[in-house]
Order: sequence, then structure tokens, then C-alpha cells
Amino acid sequence: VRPSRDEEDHRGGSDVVAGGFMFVFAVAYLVAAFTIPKPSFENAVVGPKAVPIAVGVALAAASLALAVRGFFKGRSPRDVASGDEAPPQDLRKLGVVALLLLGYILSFVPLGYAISTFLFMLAVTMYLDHEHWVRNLVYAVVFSVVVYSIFVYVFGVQLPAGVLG
Amino acid sequence: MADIFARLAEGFGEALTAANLIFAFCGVLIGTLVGVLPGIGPVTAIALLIPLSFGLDPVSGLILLSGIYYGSMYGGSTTSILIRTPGEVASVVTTLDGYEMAKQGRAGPALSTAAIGSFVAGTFSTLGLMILAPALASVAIAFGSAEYFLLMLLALAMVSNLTTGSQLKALIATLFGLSVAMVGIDPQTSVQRFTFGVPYLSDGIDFALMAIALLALPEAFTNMAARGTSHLDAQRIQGSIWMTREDWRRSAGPYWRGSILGFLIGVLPGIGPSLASFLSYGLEKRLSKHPERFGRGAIEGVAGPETANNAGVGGAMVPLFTLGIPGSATTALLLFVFMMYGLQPGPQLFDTNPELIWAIIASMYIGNVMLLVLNLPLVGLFAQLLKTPPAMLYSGVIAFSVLGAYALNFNVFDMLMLLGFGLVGYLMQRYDFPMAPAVLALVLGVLAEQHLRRALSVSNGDLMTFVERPISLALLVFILLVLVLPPAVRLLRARQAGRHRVGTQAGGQQ
Repeated sequence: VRPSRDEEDHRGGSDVVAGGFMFVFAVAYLVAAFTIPKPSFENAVVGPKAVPIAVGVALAAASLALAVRGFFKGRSPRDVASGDEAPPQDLRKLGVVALLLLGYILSFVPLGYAISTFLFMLAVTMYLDHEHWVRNLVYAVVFSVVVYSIFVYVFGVQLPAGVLG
Repeated sequence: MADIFARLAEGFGEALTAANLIFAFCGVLIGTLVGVLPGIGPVTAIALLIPLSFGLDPVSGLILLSGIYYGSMYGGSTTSILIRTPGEVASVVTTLDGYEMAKQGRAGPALSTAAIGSFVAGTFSTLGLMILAPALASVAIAFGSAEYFLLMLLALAMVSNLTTGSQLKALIATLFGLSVAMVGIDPQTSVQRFTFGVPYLSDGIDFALMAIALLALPEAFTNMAARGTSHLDAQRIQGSIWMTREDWRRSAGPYWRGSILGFLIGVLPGIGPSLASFLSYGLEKRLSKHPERFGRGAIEGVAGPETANNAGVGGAMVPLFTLGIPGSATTALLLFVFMMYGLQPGPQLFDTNPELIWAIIASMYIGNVMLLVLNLPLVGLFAQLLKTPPAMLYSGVIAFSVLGAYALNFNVFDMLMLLGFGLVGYLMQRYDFPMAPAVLALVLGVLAEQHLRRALSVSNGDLMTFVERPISLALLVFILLVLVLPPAVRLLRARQAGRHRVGTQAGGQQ
């Protein structure tokens, strides 16, 4: 069995990628930190810029150190407390779930909680496990109706009613 | 002492009302459930329930949410023992001997000793909290901004240094949390920082939102995007769940050692119940006359860690109540809940809201009894939860996350940030960055910065303010020790290991 591309990527050079990415973030953060305006009155010894800049510099240094160490030494030790290795990932599945989630968020207010939640739950469960469609359908209906009722009628949290309202 | 008992009696009066009993019960029940379900921990559950607790009064809300915290420590052991998948980080070490015991048909006694040890520790550490917290509060009254800043720095140094994984990655996670914490209007000068003209960012990025995005979503994404379908191979609970006389005898020592160790470690900021359980396992193995039994189903290896992680919860409440400084991601969320109710945990809290503190403490005694009653007979029922299909479980987690994000501020922008930071969290998890330091830094970041700046403006920029007073000097020394000791120990160990290897090679040549 050939190890998947994903696993290979994860093993080699992952610290270089992670460190490099965080370094870019830190530099962008520092640029934004230097543009923090001066307060209208200067009474504090330490202004609003100082700590963000210090954090940005430390983050840049630490990320660079991670990338350099990864380049020369390979992967850093895995966190033993995280237990078993994470299951191998299918990035297409992640992409589809993330897109469904985006659709859910954007339709949350216009369609209302009950309908958007029902559609999202049904879509996700059907995508991941299409054999049990009856179970998925029942689950999506029960979840959206029960959660909506508990929040609105028991806890008094207003949720968007959308097209049902 | 007499004062403590009078206060505690009042606390019981408050905690024993029908409503608060129900909230305590719901809390420990939800705690047990999320403890059992792998991938959903107490932090996730508390973060998701924060919007719900807006409507409750502070006592009930905090009783409910604390119940989830200590309840989850009970549930975490169940999955460790039955399927070798820890429900909680704090139960990782329980898998070593717990699962072995289950394979040998002794799942019952393993679950029992975990539940009874948890009860002993929960009760002991609540007692410790009750005695230590007021004493510490009376000392902490004298703390100024310099001391608070150093204490928070200590918590951050500990959480990023005493990790079980890569220290550099924990440090990066801490700094990432700090950088996000800086977003919003600076409370001292009213200057906008990193808001880029977006009005939603003026108040900063909501801490509960970040906690959900960094803790709940990545776990759901990882499980949903898993290649193929996973099978859980659960061990059956056969025979009696009760422990034999021999089991009791062997568990007694780990119970009291784990209680004391777990409590003391819990009190230290930045290291929570998880490290306590690891240390307890090491301690029991070292003290045992039969260390070779460990890893092959030694009941001590279940009793000790499960006791220690529960005792850690009571310990972790001490700095939260008395100093307002959380030591872990979970207590950071509890601090957020306190502040949401307009309460500022700290030494004054014992004077201004004693009934609240003592009601929570009393509810912890009650909740631990409930947990013992719930867990011993019903553990088989909870284990059934493991059969929940992942697609249903994690789509539910995502739906609750979105609902939680919406209920915080009722805007779509927050939900989009949830998705964005959820994906960031997913990547962080894929690249082995620990999440707890980032979450802790998020809540401590602004507080620590404000205390630093206040301390320096009081002293007119004189850095000596951090070393002049004995308490701040001691804290500074402690921080240096935390930063220097672990690398030094590792270096020494590496040397010893090198010498050892040379020694065995030399021995092999003879």
C-alpha cells in the first residue's frame, strides 16, 4: 500500500510549511501593528503599540526558528497527550463540508433557523453517509425543530424565523 | 474554620434549592456525556452552552458549567477503558492499563475504580479549595498590577513550556492567541487596533467565539474528513463491575496520593488535570513493587491518574476564584462566564459575592455524589453512546457551533469568523500545534497587557517595580525557573541517555 500524498506531506517538511506560514502572518501582523495610530493624549508610559509589536516580533522569531529547525532536523516530536494519530484526511471531504457550512451560514438569516439547519444537517449527513437516508432525514427534522423550540420557547433566545415567520 | 463551615452551610442552602439541584444534575450529566464522546470535551461543551447561560442567573449558570467541567473527568475514563480512545486529554494515560484490564475481562473493576477514585478526589479537592482559597484570597488582596502581570506571565510560561509536545509550537500557539487578543479598541487610550475599519471588530474578537472555532470545529472537521469509515472496537463489560477486596487494597494508595498530587498541580497555573494524570501514573509505577505489571492491566495505573485528573479540577478553581487567573482553557472559559455576568473573580469576590462562591463549592460536593451514583450503575448505558454515527455526531457539533456563534452577538459576521478561524484551527491541529495555550492566551492577553501598562505607568516606567516587592520578585524567579528548568532537564537526560548507551555498548563487547 502506497502512503497517500497527504501523509507524505505531513511527515516531511511540515514544520517548514507551518513555520513559514506563521512567519508570513507575523510579518503582516507587524505591518498592521506599526500603523496603529498614536493616542490623542500621551499620558501612558507604554502606548498601545508596544505590546502588539513585541508579540509580533516574538511570533516572527519563533516561527522562523520552527521553519529553520524543520528544514535541518525534520519533524518536531508529536504531542503524546493528543493520543492516537489523527485519522488520514480526505481534503475533498473537508472542502465539501466547509462549503456546506458556508452555505448554511449565509442562508441562516434569510431562510430562518429551522429550514437552514434542516437543509445543512441533511446535506452533510447524506454526503458523508448516503446509505442511511431515512435516519438522516429523521435526524435533520428532529434536530432543527427540537433545538429551535428549546432555544426560543425555553431559553427565550430569539432565532431568525426566516420564511416561516 | 468555624467561619468556613458557616459559609459552607449557607452555600448548601443555596445549592440545595430544587432549581440549582437540577442545574447541577444537568451539568454533571452533560459533563459525563461529553467526557464519553471522543472529540468533544468540557471546553467545547462549555463554549457551546455559554449563549444558553445568558438567560440563567449567575449562581445557576456557574453551577451548571462547573458541573460540566468536573463531570467530564468522570466520563473521560469510560472510553479510555472500553475502546482505548481517551474522551479527554486528561484520560490519555488511563488507556494504558484500563484497556488492558478490559481485554482481560476486568472492565467492570477498572470503571469502578476510576469512578470511586474520581469521587474521592473530587471531594478531597473541593475540601482543599474550600480551605486554601480564602487563605490565598486574603494574601492576594495586597497584589498590585505588577504581581497580576507576573502571575499571568507565569500562567502563559507554564502552559507553553510544560507541554507534552513541541515547546516551540506551544510558544507559537501562545503568541498567536496573544496576537488575536490585541484586536479591538485599546481600553486605556481608546485607539483602534487591528480593526481595519470593521465596526464588528471594535469590541475585539469574542473569546467564546474563538474557543468554539479553535476547539469544537477542528475536531468536527478532522472526524468528518477522515478517510474511510472508522470502526470502534469496544470491549464488553463482563461479570461484576464491583472491585474485589484485593482491588480495593491496591487502589487505596493511588487514591490518596493522586488526590494530593492532582490538587497541588491543579493549583499551579498553566498545567491542568492532564499533566496531573501523567505524573500520577509515573509516581505509581515508581512506587510499585511490581512496576512490570504496569501496561498489562495494573489497577493502580487506572486508579492513580483518574484520581489525579479529578483532583486537578478543584485545584484549578483556586487561582480562578482567588486571583481571577485561569490556569487552563476550561477555567479560562469559566472566567469569561464570570465576567459575562459582570463579576470579577479575585480576592474581592469572597467579600462581595460570598454566597455565589460558596454555593458553587457546595454544588461541587453534591455534584460529585450525583456523579458516583450516575456512573457506577449506568456506565454501560453511557458506553452505548460510542455507537453514535460520526456523521450525525459531528454535524450536530457544527450546527451547535454556528448557533453558539450567532447567539453571542446576533450577526452573520461572527459566524463567518467562526468558519475562518475554524479552518485555521483545523490547520493548526493538523500541524500539531496545541490549542489550549492559544485559548488561554486569548483570555489572558488583554488582561496581562493592561496590568503591565498600569504597573509601568504607576512606577513611571521604572522596571524595578517588578523586583522591589518580595511577592513579585518570587514570581519572577519562579517564571525564570519554568523557562529554564525543562530544557535543562531534557539536556541532562539526553546526556545521561548518551552515557547509558555508551555504557551498554561497552557491556555488550565484554
